[in-house]
Amino acid sequence: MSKRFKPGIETLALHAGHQPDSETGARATPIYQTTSFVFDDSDKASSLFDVARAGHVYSRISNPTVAVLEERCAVLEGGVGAVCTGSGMAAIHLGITTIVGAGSHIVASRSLYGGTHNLLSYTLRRFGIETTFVDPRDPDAFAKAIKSNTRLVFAEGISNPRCEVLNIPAISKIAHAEGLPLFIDATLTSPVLQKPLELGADMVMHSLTKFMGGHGVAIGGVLVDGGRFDWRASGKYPELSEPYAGFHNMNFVDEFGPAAYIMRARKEGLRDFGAALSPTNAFHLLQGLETLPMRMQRHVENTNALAQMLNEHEAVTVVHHPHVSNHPDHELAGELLPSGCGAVFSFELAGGRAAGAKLIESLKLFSHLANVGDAKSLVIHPASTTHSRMDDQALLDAGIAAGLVRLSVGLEDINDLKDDLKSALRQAQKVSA
Amino acid sequence: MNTELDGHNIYVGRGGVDWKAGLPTLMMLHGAGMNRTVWVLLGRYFARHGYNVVLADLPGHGNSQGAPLPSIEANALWLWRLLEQLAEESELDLQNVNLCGHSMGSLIAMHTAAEHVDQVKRLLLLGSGYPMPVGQSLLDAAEADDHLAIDMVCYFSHAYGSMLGNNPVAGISAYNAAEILLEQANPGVLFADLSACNNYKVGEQAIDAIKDQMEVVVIAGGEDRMTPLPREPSSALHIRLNAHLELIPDCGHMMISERPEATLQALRRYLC
Repeated sequence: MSKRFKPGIETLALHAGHQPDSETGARATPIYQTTSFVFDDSDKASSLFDVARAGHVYSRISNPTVAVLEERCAVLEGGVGAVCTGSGMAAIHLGITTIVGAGSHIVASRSLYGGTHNLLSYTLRRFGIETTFVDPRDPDAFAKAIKSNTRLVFAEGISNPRCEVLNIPAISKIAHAEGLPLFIDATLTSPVLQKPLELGADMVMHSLTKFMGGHGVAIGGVLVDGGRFDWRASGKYPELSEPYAGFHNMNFVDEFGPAAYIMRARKEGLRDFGAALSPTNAFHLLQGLETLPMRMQRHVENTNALAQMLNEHEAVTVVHHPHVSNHPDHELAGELLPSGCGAVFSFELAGGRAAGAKLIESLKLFSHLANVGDAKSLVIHPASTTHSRMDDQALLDAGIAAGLVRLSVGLEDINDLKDDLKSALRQAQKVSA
Repeated sequence: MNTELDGHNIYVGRGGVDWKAGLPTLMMLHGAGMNRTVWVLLGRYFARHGYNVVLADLPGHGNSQGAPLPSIEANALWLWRLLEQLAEESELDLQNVNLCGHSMGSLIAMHTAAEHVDQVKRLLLLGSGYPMPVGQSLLDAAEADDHLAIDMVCYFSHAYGSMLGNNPVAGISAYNAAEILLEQANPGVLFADLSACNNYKVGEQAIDAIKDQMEVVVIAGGEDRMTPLPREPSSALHIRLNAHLELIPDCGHMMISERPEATLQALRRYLC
């Protein structure tokens, strides 16, 4: 047996970033519910502000409980470091604004979470940042959309709700050839199913609210820096490779090397935008993260069983999940997501919108709400909820039919989930008839 | 800042503070396959506490051009030439030099100090030892530019607790940072550095030249598996150098990143 040089993911999910408290012996990560931290002396105070010593100053910038979660996420993803934020959307915003400003351009997948689509299409445009949306299944489309002022390529590793699998190795090569980093939203897979940094991505974010937390009790996000993108060689990122008057004239690449991006995200982004994660939410998210590997395995087992059942059901016209052999990305998923494609997918009913509505109303165990990645099974009708701000053309581009139903499969007994779905499908068929 | 030596651009960090006349020099030397960024916190600290800090990337490392030098002696020679050049170009004081090195950098610092005992006032050796043998399996992997070499260096350079984390620098994985730094080294650099450590055979003369000629401090990690303190006390470097020993518990070879605050306190006892 060859030597293992790092602990396994189950060990890291439980232990990474934390040692038992040296003062009290507390085994669990304590909640440091404090805004600020007393300085030992004036030298320590000035040194912390000068980034000359390690430590915490103010919980908007860093906090010991949050830091454990940050380091754990960085280790699980294989990155150099991480910054946690108050939500997944805050993590995307932080990831973008650390290196993208007015007059710059982003190339993004057109199949994105509705909130992300809003941010890129409307909100960031108000601040002078334009985005070109492209087909995530077409790497050439990413290449063609890159312009001289492009500063970022962004996509989801697997899209919601149609489960389009992103060819991360191919698209990272395209981005890197242009001196651009690839930023991946990996919320739906978690590092248990896919580590985008190992496939060529440069930054990863998660809505920790979803599978990483898993319990649906705390909102949070994380931005992870792979630490391997050469910001200086690219020549496109003076934010990182030239002195920054807003922070000690610091040249982040010169000072921090591989941690340049994530240090700027913390020192500027958390300082000025302030989207910090609360220590109590970090604690809740850590509790969930401890069981992530076991949960993801069960999520995948249940999902694959339901996807297969739905694919064989007469009321269903199509199942959008790569586990199903007729999904367009079935083969690519086998290569890039060998342990499973997650637990969020959609299907379309023969009866269209009315059948979809009836199905949702008839389900007893699945909860009808706007979230995914909970331990409990969830269901929603995207066109009227999560994606409601997208116009018809954008919906069509994202491949969302009016009668499409999205499931987030939980950890319940698979037989109970099957029974609930079969019963609801019978009700939906009556509407169709 | 950049300077040119032997036709190559050489990068020298200063801890974020310009040098001033009249301050002692503190040269901080990185280890095998690494670069100056390992010193970021300590460099910034001492640059604000009375020193002109010199954080050079050795040839072929970090932002410095050229090929890695083949021996500790060659690195030591290059290092002093660099300091002489910097002294000509700036306010750097060559009569009051503190040399601080980590791992391979500690051997370079020790050899340089032996050659300039009148000018080097203090020698600070982190993760050090002499001899510094390198296992053949590691050398073979490094020569082949096999990632296995990086895995081995990272694994044996960190205490188990540090591998799991709990880094006082919020959000940063010290273990992954070391791995990424080594990955970013140019092909052949790690092998050249490890070979230089393994082949350094004139340390006894250096020890004899240094002993009692300057203040020497050895800072060791209690769980260092790369340069462990020898079981026989008389062969320990700090004994042979008549040096102060600062032992950092629960710490491996990478004390700069594993225990930055404890390392700072150990250095402060002599530098501040």
